[in-house]
Amino acid sequence: MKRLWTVMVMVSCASASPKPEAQQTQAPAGDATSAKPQGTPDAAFRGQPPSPGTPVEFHAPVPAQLALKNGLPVFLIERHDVPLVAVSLAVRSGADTEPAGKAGLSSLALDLLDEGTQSRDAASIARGFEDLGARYGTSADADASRVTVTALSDTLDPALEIFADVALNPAFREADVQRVRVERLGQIAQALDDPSSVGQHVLSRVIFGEQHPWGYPGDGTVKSVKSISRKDVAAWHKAWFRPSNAALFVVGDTDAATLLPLLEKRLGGWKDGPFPKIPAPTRSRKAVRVITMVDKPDAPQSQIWIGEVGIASTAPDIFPVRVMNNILGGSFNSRLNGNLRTEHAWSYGVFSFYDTHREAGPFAAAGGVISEKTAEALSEFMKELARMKSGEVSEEELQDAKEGLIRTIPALFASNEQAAGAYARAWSHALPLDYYATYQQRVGAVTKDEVAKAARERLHPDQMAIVVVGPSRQIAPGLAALKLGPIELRDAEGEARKAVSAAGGH
Amino acid sequence: MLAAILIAAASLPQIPFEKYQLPNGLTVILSEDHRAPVIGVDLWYHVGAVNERKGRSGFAHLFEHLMFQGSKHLNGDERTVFAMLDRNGATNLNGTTDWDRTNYFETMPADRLELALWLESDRMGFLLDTLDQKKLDTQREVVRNERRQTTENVPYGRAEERLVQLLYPDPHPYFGYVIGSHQDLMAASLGDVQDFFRTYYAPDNASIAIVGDFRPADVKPLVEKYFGPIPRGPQAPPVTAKTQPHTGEVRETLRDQVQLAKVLIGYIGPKPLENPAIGPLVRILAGGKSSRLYHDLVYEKKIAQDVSANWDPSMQLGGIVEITATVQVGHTPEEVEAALTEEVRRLWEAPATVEELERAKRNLESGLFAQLENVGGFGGKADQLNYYQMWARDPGAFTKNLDATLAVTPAQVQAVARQYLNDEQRVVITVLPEQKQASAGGGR
Repeated sequence: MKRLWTVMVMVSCASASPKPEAQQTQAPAGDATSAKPQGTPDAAFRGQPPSPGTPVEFHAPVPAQLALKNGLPVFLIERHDVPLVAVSLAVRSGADTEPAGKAGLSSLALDLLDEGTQSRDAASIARGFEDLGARYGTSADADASRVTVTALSDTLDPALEIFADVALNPAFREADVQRVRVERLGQIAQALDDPSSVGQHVLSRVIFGEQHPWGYPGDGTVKSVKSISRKDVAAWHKAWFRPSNAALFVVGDTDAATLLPLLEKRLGGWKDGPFPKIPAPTRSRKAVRVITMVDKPDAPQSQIWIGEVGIASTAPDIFPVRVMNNILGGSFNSRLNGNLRTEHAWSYGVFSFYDTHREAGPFAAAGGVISEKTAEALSEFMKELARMKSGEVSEEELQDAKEGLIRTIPALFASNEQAAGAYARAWSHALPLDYYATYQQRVGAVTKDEVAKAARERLHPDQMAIVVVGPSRQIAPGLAALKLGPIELRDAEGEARKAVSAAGGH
Repeated sequence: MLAAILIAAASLPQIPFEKYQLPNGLTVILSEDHRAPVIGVDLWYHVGAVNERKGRSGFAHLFEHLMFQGSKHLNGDERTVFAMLDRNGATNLNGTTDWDRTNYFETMPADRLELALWLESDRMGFLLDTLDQKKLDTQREVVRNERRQTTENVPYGRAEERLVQLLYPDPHPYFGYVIGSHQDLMAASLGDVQDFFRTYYAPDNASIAIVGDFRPADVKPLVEKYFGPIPRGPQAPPVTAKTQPHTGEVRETLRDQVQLAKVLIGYIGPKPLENPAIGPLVRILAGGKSSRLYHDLVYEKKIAQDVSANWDPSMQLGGIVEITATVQVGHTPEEVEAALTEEVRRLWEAPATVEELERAKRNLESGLFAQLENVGGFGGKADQLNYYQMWARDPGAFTKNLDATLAVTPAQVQAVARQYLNDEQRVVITVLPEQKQASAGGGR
């Protein structure tokens, strides 16, 4: 893989900032200062940043709402600048509908869609899409599933034919299920080797517990995936893939008059049916906060993951919470990154996020830090969380955070695929159709008091789970000395290890 | 059947542009794109790891970090620079260091283009005015953490580095893998920073691409105002390093904290724009599920967990062709290596079929369409224009290269395989699990 070395860690997309440019009064050290051999002549116009011109207003495109005769909602944004059409079929069921012990079922079903239909095998599906220059993909989410294809506009119809076949008529043949299951076990093994992904998954296990599907990685566990049968996969697809649980998002070089007949032809025969009744997932978490340690012997870095259950996408204070998070760790210039990277140079970058869904997903503050400074870094994380919770926010932090969120919106619509994905996610998260069109205005209206209130009510640093993936022998004494709670040892899948002393070891 | 679905030549991806040079040698590339009220600004400096001197591996990239620490009129640290950009609605902003070039880019709201020009000209003209030991020391540590995070503490990270080191042995400038060694990073001094800046960060060693919602008549005076007064640099020393062709296979086995073994095979391939058949070749090998490696190793034989094939298009001393496969549970690296070797041999024994070559071209082309949806950012229009300016001295080579790629014949694919993908010129690395981990991935 081509690797580029970048100044900024690429984790979250949000960003905004504190700190004015003026303050720094300290003279530069050293002697030589001027630039080129003969130096660039200074000029008055360089003294101040040029003032911006007339602001360009951004209006998020709002899709036209259509429907097929079988009731499937279709949302269309026409854009004719490039000859591409992005199509995204969203289904409002994901990991949240997986039965106990079957973690990974929904994502496995999605992986299997293009492995064979009633009339096509995997190779002919792959060749079919690739001959058309069409890009096919799926994404498995905590409470939604998406199947997507981006096609050249002049080959949209043949691409849709394969797309619909794959989404509606998967065969789930035993041989394909077996092969994909083995591949999945390999992916799980690879994720267990990656300390950052281990940190995130173990944190989820601690805060959602063993009874909740979100306590497990979306890919499932070795045990759960081994238990998933062809029958499980077919039953899950049949239960949740239905027009009344789905919506189609189309963005690009087409129009309603062209598109609707094509869709009727390919998806019009999709039949509805009754929903199965499933119990609501229950969360469980130990009452006492512990530091959960996963041993990674000799690792040069520790991954620190701190978190708790966050908020739902439709929570009334979602906008103040997003502004608050941007100040805390949602941007390059956030308090957390400024502290751990710019001030202390212990990290390449740290961050925080709220993963929101129809139900509350996780909040996490996280990042990799040099192993020798694990305890010191954790202590700074906790300090910043406590400072945020106090609710004190400067006017400048507020403005920068709001500005940062507002300006991320246009980028969501840069490509057809991104635009289709943005609306598919909003729909999956039960957000209104004008969500993006009103987003900038709603962020702009957030006040300092609302942010302070959100911080006080939503952050609970004293109770947050703490997960550290690193060289336990080396870092355990320092962590114990912080007195944030007793230390427990788990394996990379989040299963408890036999009781081990704080000194770690194995 | 294939002919019927080929799109007309008129709808091929293309980028209209205008190019000129300031008296101080700065190459300016302007491209109007009025789809959205944004403008991508992208500066390429023709300096990278290839220009590092012995004992200073990683320096070009460390220097890139220093370009974000403020300059004479934007005094402060990295927070100051990012805050200024963020507050003004910049998106897609970053700096990246590669083997042979370093770039800095940001996408601005259309009314704030001038701010980006102000910032970029300030750090080109006045970086050293505010650069001090503390900034160097801080970023040195940040970069060492970047090395830990992206090379040392990720599965197979050290194997990727080792592959480069074996392909381009010391003292080749690519040996340092761009990120460099801890030891060399520790050795970097403020004097090095000043020398490097004065030597390479000059207008005549750079090109700026501006792509988006503007009128050239408005932008040209601004470019002149901000960049015009910056003096030319000294003649940058030419790259004298040579790549020695390998004359015998090189092999190494590494242990890593992983559960699945992996095989990495590397060759020194073509230079930028040297051979248009290499793009289709790697696509035929491992692009998508219908590719040869996927179909053979993953789908049919089920001996590999995943496969990949890439050619690095940005290395003037020969671009790496890298083929990898992660070994499936219950199989051995030997089986996988044999299958990879066999597939490479098939490429030089017989020409690719017309059908798979057309499929490869079709997907390269639709991938380009998708990249060109962005004016700036990684691989967007501005990057494309700069790439062809750097390697062909002509941004219009974008179209020529695309035409050449679409005209590639099966015989050309066979020829490029024969020229570059020989067993005696390859490096093979096998990564084995360090210890038996019982928790996962075990046999079924």
